[in-house]
Amino acid sequence: MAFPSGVKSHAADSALVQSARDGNRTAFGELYERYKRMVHGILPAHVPYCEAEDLMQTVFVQALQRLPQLRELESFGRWLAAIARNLASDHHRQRRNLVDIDKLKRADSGLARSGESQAALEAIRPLPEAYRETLMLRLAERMTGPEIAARTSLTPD
Amino acid sequence: MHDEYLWDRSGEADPEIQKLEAVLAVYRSRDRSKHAAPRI
Repeated sequence: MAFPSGVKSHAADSALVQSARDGNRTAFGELYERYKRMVHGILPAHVPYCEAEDLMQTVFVQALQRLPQLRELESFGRWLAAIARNLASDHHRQRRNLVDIDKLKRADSGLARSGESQAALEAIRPLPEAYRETLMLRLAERMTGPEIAARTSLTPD
Repeated sequence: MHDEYLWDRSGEADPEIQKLEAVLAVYRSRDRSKHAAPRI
């Protein structure tokens, strides 16, 4: 099953989501390709980057398992973003009780990232959710405004 | 217009935005085997 690439309409997403719900793994793989940058951009806006990397798979596994519960097929992107935010929130809360957050931040900053990169991320994290996610998607993932709007259902207004 | 570059990366590039893109590039997703669609 072949699907065109690029910014897709909600209608095209809906067809993929329906196909994935019917068990088509190729369709889910295409959804993964379309939305992996969005999820990858959202997660570091909420949790340390080293944890965000690990949460990527968890987000998509949960999405695959919960796909039959998605009521509005055209809202897949918004629904997936909510799963990413909820998992990041739960994960961060659980980790807070188990590990030294300062130690985690030090480990995060030591992963071959410059102090400037870490400082930029730390400056973005306190911003309101819509801003920090949009900044990460635009500046880190280099998605365009139209791409971000199409994937997350956020609008410039 | 720099606003166009911020919006859709078209038009004249904004040096400040380009610097932020470069600084945050380390957080960009990359095609790695770790990042593949999950199988259940």
